[in-house]
Amino acid sequence: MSRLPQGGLIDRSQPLDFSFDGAKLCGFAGDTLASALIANGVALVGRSFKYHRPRGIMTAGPEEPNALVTLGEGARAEPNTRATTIELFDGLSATSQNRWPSLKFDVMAINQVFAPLLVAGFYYKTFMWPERFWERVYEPLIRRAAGLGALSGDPDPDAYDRDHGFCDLLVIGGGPAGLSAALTAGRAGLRVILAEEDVRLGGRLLSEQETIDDQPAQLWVDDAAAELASLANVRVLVRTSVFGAYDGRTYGAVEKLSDHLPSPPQGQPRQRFWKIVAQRTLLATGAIEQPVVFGGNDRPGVMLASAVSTYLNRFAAVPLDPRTGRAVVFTTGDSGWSTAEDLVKAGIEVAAVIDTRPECGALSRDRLAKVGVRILQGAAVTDALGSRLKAVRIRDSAGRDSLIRADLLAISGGWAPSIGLGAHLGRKPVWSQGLQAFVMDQDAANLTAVGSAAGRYSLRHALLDGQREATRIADERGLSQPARRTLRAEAEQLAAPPIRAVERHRTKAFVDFQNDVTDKDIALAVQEGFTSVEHVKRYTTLGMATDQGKTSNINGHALLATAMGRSLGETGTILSRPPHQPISIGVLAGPHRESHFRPTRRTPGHAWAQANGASFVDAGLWKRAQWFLRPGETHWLDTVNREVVAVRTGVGVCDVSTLGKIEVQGPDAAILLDRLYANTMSTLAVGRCRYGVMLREDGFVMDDGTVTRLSEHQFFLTTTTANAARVMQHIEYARQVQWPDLDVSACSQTEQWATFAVAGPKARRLLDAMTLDLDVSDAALPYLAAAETRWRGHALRLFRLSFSGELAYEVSGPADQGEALLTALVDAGRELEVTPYGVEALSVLRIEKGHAAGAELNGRTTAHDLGLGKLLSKAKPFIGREMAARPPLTASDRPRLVGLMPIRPSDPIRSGAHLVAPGFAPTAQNDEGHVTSAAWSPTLNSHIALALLVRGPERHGERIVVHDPLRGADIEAKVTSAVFVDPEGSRLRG
Amino acid sequence: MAKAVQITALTGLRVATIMARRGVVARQVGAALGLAAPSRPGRVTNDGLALIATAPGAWLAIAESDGAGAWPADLADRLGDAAAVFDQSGAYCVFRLEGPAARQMLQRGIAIDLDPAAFGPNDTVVSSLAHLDVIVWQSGGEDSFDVAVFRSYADDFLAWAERVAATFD
Repeated sequence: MSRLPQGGLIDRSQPLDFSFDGAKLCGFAGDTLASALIANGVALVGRSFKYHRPRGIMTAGPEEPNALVTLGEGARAEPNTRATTIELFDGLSATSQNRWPSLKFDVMAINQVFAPLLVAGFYYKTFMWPERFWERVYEPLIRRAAGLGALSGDPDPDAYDRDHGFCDLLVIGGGPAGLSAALTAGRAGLRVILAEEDVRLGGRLLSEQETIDDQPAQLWVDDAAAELASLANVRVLVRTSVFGAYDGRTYGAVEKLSDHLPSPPQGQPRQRFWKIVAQRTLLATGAIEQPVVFGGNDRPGVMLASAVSTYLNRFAAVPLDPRTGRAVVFTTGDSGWSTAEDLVKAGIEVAAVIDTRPECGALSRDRLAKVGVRILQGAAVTDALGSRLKAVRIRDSAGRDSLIRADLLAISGGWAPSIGLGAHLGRKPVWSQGLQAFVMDQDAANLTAVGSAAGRYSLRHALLDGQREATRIADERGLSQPARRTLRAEAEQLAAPPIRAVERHRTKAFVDFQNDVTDKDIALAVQEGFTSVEHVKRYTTLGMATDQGKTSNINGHALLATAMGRSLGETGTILSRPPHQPISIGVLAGPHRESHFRPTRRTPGHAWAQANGASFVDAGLWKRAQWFLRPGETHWLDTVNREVVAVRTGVGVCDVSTLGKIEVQGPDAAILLDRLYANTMSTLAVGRCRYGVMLREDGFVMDDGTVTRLSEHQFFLTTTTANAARVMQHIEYARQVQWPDLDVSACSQTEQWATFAVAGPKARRLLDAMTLDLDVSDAALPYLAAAETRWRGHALRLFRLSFSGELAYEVSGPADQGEALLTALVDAGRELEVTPYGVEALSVLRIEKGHAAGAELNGRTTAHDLGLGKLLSKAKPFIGREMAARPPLTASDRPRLVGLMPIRPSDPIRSGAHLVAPGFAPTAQNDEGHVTSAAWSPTLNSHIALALLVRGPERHGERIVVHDPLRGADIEAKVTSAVFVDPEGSRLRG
Repeated sequence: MAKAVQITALTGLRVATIMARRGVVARQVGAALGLAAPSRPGRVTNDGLALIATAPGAWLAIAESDGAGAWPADLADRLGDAAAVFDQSGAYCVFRLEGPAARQMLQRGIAIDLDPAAFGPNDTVVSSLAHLDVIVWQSGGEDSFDVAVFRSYADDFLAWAERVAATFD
């Protein structure tokens, strides 16, 4: 075990058991998986993406590129999870990835032998010959080799939630800058949201041994946390990572509610997606330490210096054997020195500190030299050696090479402000020569970087920045507050001089660890002409892994700059893209998955239908009863046939509540309707209904429905289910935009009324049995008449309209009485053996009658095509009239509506099949139309269909070939009228 | 232990949509009904009748059903030529959410600020909640909210409400 006997922020009274690759290990509450692995002496945690090189833990934060593990098992297994961000819990199980058969012995490491062939862009130049090998050999091989980690393939068993946050100030990051800002703003009375992705506040103060006001910084953090918790106007969200900045001052964040537990408590979500709208935002996300590019810099045992300090100080975990291990520190700036001091304080032997600067760090240097640490200045590490680090090769200031035995190499290549979020709205980072770093373009008024995120790395600046910016924001809002005294804290700067890569190393030097991009790949890209940062990114894949180059972009772009003889400022860098950290897709979906993907609309008759054996089908968002299976019926066609026959010979009841309903009121209502419909509505008498067709502005049919005149200035419209919203929009556009001078109002009533069709020869007898306070005789209520009465204290409307072609009524009551009305109708019809019927039978009935529906009203048919040309009024203007008269829309050879009956009644005709004259080859040239709707007609004992056929109405009686290559052999059919049953319409009347 | 949020379906409400006719302003509509008709998202009540602005020149009128008279004929009579009236008593289901977590729970579903500073006792929200169109107002008391949703979506709303309310318990 490599755990220090005391110290750290772990809770040694809470030991935790966990396993990694099957090995049972122990840690403590407060550990991450990474710190626990380090404390257990586990050095090897994965294999790199391309070359399958052995890799260890390199960092202590979310920027980790190497320690990608699969967390959990079964359906909860989550691949590519960074061990540094996983909170350890009892029973945690994790496995390494990208290796077979084991981490120690990985067959794919053979890739390293082929390394010269696998350089950047190799796939553009290989796998091309022989061509036939691509699909069968190369592609399957590449697919198997590609990717990192594997999905379980099981559905995600967890629930995800959403929440919305609103604030005057969003502080992203709970380190010293963020805490200082949140305190200042909170005390001033602003609404503050503070988001910290770690489990506790403190940021860098958790990893460094700093003081504030001469006290350990942790005390200040604890006080700050307590004060923030006490302020009602401040919301602190821990385990919450802000992943994206969006337009409208909106930010996306993910709160991990139970990833630190084996599974979420019953009824609780696993993670929550926050949409936060913030008037102002402060980016207090700190800075990320960068590696240096030298040979073997990816070896297990090579770690960022600040990470070594974090493991020692926060987790009391030692990344080498504390008794026999030797550490070497390689730094290009001051921060490596504090790691050397942390190692010495922990009792670890520090063999040497190698600083690339010729002159530096007087205080640290003397302290360390006193305890026997060798100091080399103006020197560099050229190679790290050993598949697990054993030694480092160094070059001193005189250019001489030597070897130092080492088990841990702590490297510090300087710091890069973590400003990814700042780039999400398209602003490229700008190079600051003074800070030697890319910083945020500070033009954005709503998003400001503070502290290390702004390149001001000292603790003192972090505290001051947070306070200053929060004060400025409070002043903007007129909420000033008494100035607090400035806290005393360390003021040193940590800016590093620009040495990012070491020349003349002998082994492979890595730039991007996650994608295995080496310095040679960058050179190759330049050689091949890819010289912009964007091209280098895509050609070499630098920065394209899930870490988006957090520890590789700067070094890669610096190498590019050097190769091009440009400055880093001139070279620029790439934009980070949301999500800044990987997030689960489940959290974006939230509860809207599978059956909850969209809302479900249920009709007033739904519960009754469910209780009476209905199967349901989707009609847009609605659930509609498809048919009502009776005991003993085994095939749906038997059920549907029974329902159709019942309507044609007895009486049936169908829930048609989904049809759109719109009430139009006002002195100019009739005028508006005349302009909307192709036929005339102003001549409709009160208490009468009329079939209506609406055209689009381009002359094609938009929808059909009915219009009923309730009073002189009141009309009631129905539309098809699918077009209800579209027609309402159409009416509103006409009313509000095209003719705002008309005095007319329109309101959707689809939800207000439950409507049931009562259809069949016995329909009137059913209504008689309802004993309504209304005369429903043919004389009082003829075909196309409407009436209103009261039933059980509520309004009841009757419309004598028929979609089935039988004697029929549409009976409407308020939707909240819908179930009662349906029940009453069924009770009233019991002695008549009333049959509930669903949309399948409804469809058969209307096809038998040649009524156009969705398949015919497909947006490409005109009124003439559908045989409705006579409805187009010549006496008044209406929407679509002029365009409908265009020659192509009135051409005589357009496909027009006909009926089809197969010569052999048992031959099925299917919608979508195409029509060809007999004796002609079935080619596009000879295509004369297609089948739009088809059904088995129990009334005619034959398959029937509606179709659009060139010059159809003139070809009744002719034979036609129905060509359906996808589903069956060609069949021969006869062209008929589209109205198969009761063409005179006598069953409608009387 | 009391539940964090209590969800009740209100019954027996009378609801109607009122649309001002051309040239008629909110003040005239309000005068006909004896209250100040709101012309921004808001709710005004008088003598058992509540008026909620839902769009320019459009309101939802809600009354308790034990009030005598025909609905919405009486409303139409009072408004006369000022506005068109459409019965919506069957169209909406109204749910009451009560309890210390009611506001927080609604905030989970609605992307509009519901903090007391931004959403006061007379304010209304016409927005979407879990892909459902809703109208929300406070119903007397800081912890009590009414949510009106179209009847066809009522089951979905209830499912959302019960699931989210449970996360507070």
